[in-house]
Amino acid sequence: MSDKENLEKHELLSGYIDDQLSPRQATELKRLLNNNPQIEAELKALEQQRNLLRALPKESAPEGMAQDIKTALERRFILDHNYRHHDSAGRWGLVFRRLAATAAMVLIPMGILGIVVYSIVRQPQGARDSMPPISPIPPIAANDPKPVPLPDEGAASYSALLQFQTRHPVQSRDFIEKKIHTLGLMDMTQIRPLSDRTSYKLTASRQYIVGLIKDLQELWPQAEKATYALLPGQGREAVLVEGIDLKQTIEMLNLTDIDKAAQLAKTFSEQNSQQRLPANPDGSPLDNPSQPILAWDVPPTEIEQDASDTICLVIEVLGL
Amino acid sequence: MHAKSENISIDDAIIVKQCQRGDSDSMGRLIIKYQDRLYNAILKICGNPDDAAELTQESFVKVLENIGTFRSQSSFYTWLFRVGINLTLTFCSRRLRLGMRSLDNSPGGKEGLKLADVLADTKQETPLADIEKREMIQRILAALEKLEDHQRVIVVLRDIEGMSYEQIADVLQLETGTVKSRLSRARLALRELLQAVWI
Repeated sequence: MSDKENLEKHELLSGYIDDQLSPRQATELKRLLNNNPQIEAELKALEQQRNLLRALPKESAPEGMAQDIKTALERRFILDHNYRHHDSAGRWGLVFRRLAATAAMVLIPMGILGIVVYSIVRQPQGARDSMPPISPIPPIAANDPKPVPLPDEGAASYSALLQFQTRHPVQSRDFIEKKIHTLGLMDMTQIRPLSDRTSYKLTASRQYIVGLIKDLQELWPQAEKATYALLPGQGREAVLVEGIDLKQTIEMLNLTDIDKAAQLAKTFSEQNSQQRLPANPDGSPLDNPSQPILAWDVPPTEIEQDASDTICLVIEVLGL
Repeated sequence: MHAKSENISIDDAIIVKQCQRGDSDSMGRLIIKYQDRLYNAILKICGNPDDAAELTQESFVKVLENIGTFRSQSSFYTWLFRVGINLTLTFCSRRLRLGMRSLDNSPGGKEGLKLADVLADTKQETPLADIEKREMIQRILAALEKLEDHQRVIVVLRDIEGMSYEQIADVLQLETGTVKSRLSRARLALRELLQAVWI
């Protein structure tokens, strides 16, 4: 029996003990079980394994955990409350406010004076042009094909940038943040509001990032342009894919082999070179997103490959 | 199992509404209701009681802090587990990168001792059967720990926590068909690791 057949047979047995087979599959399996003692033995072993796992002792949470959680929540609430309502901080609060007001009276004129002095003695135009850009993540443009790698990618095996240029940046940002929150990815996300864009840096396992991208499918119709950049690193060059769609993005993210990913990016780049994402004339808001539908046909073998590895994806939203 | 989960969700919808109005007693009810189940699942995934306690607490704090934004698109139960599993997987991958793999599930480790205490309460068994059972549990836990993180998670959610395929799909943000195939592969991998136990 080949590996594939063995896996299929095992999936059938696994589904059978969980009562997940269709009546036709169950009948077929029962016939196999009657005629093949080896399959019957495998089924018994699988049931025994499940029973062993079910028989493991259930560990209880440490005593006082509920109280610890409540205390932690109250502490955060109090800190938040104090931050918002420092007016009621009493006598010391009043002293602090007077000091702050005095400091402001001194510092604000000094600041204005500093700006005036700076504008007088600032560098000539030519010298300013040679300064490096302030933004740590440069914008993607057709004439700027080599985005720099992120400064703190950590152990991510794969780093990429997905950029949306849209006429609805506020709604798009809200939509992304809502999805990040709903999927519980807050801890894995760094948000960086820049002057011309908002940047979301996610460092998480591939399966969670792919899951997020699937949930963000409604961003594409709202975007004038979506661009994907496989960032450079370890001797490989950056590859830009302009006009990337959802399916292509999922395929890119599912590829664990970085060389294959770079090759696929080049292929998509060529395919898309004459195409643009159509603008959405309605411009309908994203305030009521529907659940994602399965709109791709990525081969399962690619999804299954090393789904636990960590990747880094920066999503950027630029207003037009 | 499925019917039981639905009942849990119906009750939760009412409690969650009360939490959203700021009722701290209702928050306490949710904690009491799920703390043991979440802790047990996280412990079986990360293998260390102290880490599991911290991760469980962090999960509850995160979820209850954001309870106002909960839209009931999924059940509270799967939302809580999604946050807990995400935190645990992130913790496990950091630990792996730092080379701090837990040894607590190995025979004689902290978990083993706790389980041994539990088993010592089983008076009706003979000392020999008791030792055999204790050893068996330690081997299962050790085999479980050797699985890949994502395989261990799916086995724990199905065979230990008892979630339905749909609930697992909701927690892990996967299609039900993917859950089915991944669970089958994880069980097969575990069986290979466990074969020494029953041969």
